[in-house]
Amino acid sequence: MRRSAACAVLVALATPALVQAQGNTDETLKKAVQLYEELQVERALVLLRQVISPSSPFVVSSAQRVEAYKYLGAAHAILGQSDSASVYFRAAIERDPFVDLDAQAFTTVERAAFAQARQRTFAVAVRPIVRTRIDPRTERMTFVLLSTHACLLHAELRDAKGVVTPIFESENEGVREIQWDGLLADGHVAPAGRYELVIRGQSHLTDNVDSARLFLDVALDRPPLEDTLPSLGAADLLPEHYPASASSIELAKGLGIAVTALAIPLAVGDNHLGTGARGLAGVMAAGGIAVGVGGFVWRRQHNEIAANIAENTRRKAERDAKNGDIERRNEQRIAITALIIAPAAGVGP
Amino acid sequence: MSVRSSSSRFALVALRAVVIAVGVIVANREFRYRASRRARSARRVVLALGLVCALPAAAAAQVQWTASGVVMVVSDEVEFGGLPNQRETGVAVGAEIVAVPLRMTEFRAQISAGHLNNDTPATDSRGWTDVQLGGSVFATSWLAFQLSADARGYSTTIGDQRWLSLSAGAEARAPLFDNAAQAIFKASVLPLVSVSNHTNPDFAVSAATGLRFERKKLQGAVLFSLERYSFPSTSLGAHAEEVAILSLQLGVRFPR
Repeated sequence: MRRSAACAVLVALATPALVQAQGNTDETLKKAVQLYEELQVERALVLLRQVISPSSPFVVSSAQRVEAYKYLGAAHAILGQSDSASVYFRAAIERDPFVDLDAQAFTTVERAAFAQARQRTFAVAVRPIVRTRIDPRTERMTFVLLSTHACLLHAELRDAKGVVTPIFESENEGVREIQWDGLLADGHVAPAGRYELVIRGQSHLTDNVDSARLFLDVALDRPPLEDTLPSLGAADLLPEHYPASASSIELAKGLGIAVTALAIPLAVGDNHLGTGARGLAGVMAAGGIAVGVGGFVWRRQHNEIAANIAENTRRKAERDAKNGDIERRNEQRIAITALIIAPAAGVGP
Repeated sequence: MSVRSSSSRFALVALRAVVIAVGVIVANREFRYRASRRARSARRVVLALGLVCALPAAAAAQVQWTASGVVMVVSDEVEFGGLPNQRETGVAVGAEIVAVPLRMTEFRAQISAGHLNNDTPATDSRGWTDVQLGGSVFATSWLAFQLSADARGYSTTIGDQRWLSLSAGAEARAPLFDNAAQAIFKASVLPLVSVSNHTNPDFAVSAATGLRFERKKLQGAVLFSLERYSFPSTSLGAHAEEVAILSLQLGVRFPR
């Protein structure tokens, strides 16, 4: 309880200080830019150096630092200090390859120095994306890539399983928009999941290699798919063969006829009679034994239960037909699938 | 065209005639009172003819029939008054008609005739005639209860003897060869037996076993049966009689 209260007090004290620190950097930077535009370059340099100084008491964001380096380079270019200008421009470019000098705000000398710095610095970058919904049949996702100077640029998408889908490879210089149709290398719509857009460039001037990556989440926007029916298990199917005892039962039935025929004169007949009956019973018994043996052999050779086989075949066909219908409905739903592509946190797929 | 469909058509025609006849009668009720006696008689004849034709035809259209020829080996054995046993054996031939009007019922009529030769000395050969009528009701697919009546005649040189009997029993059937054949087990009691010119037996039973088979329209059977008749003892000694029959049937089933 006491610890929580202490944390709350610290947060309450620290938050305004952080905002004030960023606010001070922002004010300093604005003031430096204003001085620069008023051609008070020396005074602007002092403020800009304060911003990038490691001993600065204020928090400096990456964008503020890039902005400071850019104006430091421009200021040194105006002062004719081309080497220093190049150093600061390169520092800005290395931190943000998309940084550029507005032709209406900077002079030709400054832009020439910046261009020179770009030639000496090789970097590739991809612009962050915003959440976008595309229909793969008609729409494309646009990625904005950049190389600071001429290079061979290669872009590819990697999914969580490491499967790579190349989406661009060409010579490039400066900013380029590439488009992705939402399909993977196998021609199917990209399944939902996290993907990594990797761009690699090899400079034609310095032979240096640089790469950048962008993580994105792909979600599918479509009606939910139906599950197909599971395979028919043993419990769902009728036995297709008689048990091993079936042939013995056939034999027993035939022997039952024989035994009954022999037993009838003894059990039903008169003790003093039955001579003729026993002879006829013997004939019937022989027939019963023959039928029993025949049934035993026949059952061993005809072990299939035809009715059950037909019923199982019908059940399998019915299941296959239902699965076929489900697959057709799913294909229709997949055909109208839209992709929702959103930026993801910077962790691998 | 199958026999069943032709029978059904005949039944429909006959029934239609009945309906028309009844309709005529109803529509002309007033006229009927004024009609002559002769005309009334004519209509009654038409109605009666229609009923006579239609009812059996309608019934026959639904019935499955089996007509079989029967060959029997008959052994008749008699113990009487301490005399040596007398035995006669012979062959009889006959015919059997089985009707199945409903799924769980069966009616049977069998007629046979033959001659029994004496196997033992001092025994007369006898002529044999037998008529059986019976019905079965199936309690399950394998168990049926039966009632039957039997009229049997023995003819000798010294005279004829008639046996009349009623029997009640049960028949169990066990399928063989995927129901292409059936093992038959049958037991009956004969509570009423009448023998002409003789005392009636006081105890009579019968039992049978055998095999019945079907293949397409053919139907056949091999059956062994034994009938035992025990008569009241007299001063001359015990009197008992046994009739053992081994029969072979082969027939055709129709309409299907």
